[in-house]
Amino acid sequence: MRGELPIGLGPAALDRLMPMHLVADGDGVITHAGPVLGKIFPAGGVVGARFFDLFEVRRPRQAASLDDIARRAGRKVQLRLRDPDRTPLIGAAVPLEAGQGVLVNLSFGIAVVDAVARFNLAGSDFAATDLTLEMLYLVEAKSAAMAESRKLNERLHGAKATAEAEARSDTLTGLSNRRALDQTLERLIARAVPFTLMHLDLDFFKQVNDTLGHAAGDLVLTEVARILCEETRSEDVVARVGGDEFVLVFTRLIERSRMVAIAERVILRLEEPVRFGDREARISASIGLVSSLNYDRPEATRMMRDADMALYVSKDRGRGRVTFFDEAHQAKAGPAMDAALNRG
Amino acid sequence: MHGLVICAFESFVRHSYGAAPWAALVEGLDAGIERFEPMFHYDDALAARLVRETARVLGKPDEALLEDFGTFLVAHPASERVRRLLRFGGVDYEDFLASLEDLSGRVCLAVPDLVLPEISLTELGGGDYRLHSADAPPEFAPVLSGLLRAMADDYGALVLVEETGAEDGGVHLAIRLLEAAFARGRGFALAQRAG
Repeated sequence: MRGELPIGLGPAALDRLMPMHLVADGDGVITHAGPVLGKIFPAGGVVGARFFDLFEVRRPRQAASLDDIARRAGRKVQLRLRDPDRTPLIGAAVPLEAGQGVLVNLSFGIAVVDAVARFNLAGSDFAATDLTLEMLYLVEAKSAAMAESRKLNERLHGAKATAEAEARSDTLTGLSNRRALDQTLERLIARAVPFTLMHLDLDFFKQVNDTLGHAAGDLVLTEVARILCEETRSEDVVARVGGDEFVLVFTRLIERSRMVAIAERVILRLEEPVRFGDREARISASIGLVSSLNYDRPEATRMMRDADMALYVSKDRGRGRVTFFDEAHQAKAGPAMDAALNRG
Repeated sequence: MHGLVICAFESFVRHSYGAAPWAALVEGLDAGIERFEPMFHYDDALAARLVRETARVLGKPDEALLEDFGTFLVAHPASERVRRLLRFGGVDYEDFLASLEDLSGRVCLAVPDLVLPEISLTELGGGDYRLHSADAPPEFAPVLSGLLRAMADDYGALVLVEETGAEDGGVHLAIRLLEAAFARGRGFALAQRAG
């Protein structure tokens, strides 16, 4: 057949094309070894050694001689070095002409990353067509890229935790949370802006949760949030500070009659039943109010405590009520009032 | 501009001039960026402004600063990674020069969205080479010059690198390899040292 004439290649040419090949004679004794095998066996003695003394054939299992292996030309041979690390190798074997033995070309396969370090291999130890260097390059570049990605992920994770800790809104209702409320109060007090603080506590909310379930409770809370937002101006702050507790800050609104009117309207609207499936949830609210003008030097904690106390007077007076803190002194202290005082 | 490039530049400024100038530079950019992320992309104009500002603050010509950056990428221990990836290109300096044509492809294999300018290398014989990159911005020339000189030291080769302008734009460099084995070089083990 044309184009398929046998070609003669000398050992030097073979070494260049396949730096990790060997030739063994019919008895399995190695007669020539490529330069990289010299690095794998630095003590020398590859040429003259028996193939099976240096290598353990893993697959094909039944291979008893190199001829066996060579006859399966084209099939991959899996081997291990008989070294302390039992370094895995892959190989391809072909029979040579006229009983000159067998040529075995070897490679480290996927174990090359370890092998390169173990045998201190250099770029010049690989054939020019061998993609091992490209693979090593990729392994290293990928590790670097992964390391950067991991660092970014860690930073994002940290940023998310920080953002959560610094969140200013309540996730269920979208209202401000305690932290946002505290910041608002601090800001208003620092700038001496007069304001009225409203502490609102839902009445009968526990019953809604108990009889209709938490989904109904969540729906009611969302409705409450909507109503509170509708009944306040954009410059006011509406915060949810507990399960069914809300604090509203009315900036520059200190006129008592207007505040009472707002509070009463809020209660009226909250008392409108909320439809939940074919049932209705009914709640009400008690309100305590305190104005920053009551104090020479208003303090957020003290105002919160006083609004809380006014709220408990409202509860005491029979729910659905509105009480100003300075009126609370005149109101007869009941058990709820005592509880509020003890809490302070 | 890919964040990896900007972060490499940041590393260069930090290691050469300290953390404080860098922080001031980033703040001076007033771009709403506190830190550059290596895996993000940034506006090219912003990157160019960053280089100009750095040069102004450090009182260096843009070109000299960029060439130092190119040297840093190879010679400084902080960017050992870049040096190693470049050294994978060839077993000697000539081999490395030839591998520059594959550089953008190699980089793409590792980081697909990091697009480097295409480089073409013409060998004139006698150790003379012409490097041309049609799509590279002018800032690429001094960075590449610094990098090529530092890589020559790394391989222990002796080279002359010169920018040669051309009417058709892009980046043109003339490289003369005077001696391939001038000094010992830094050596390169394929296997990365642990840690």
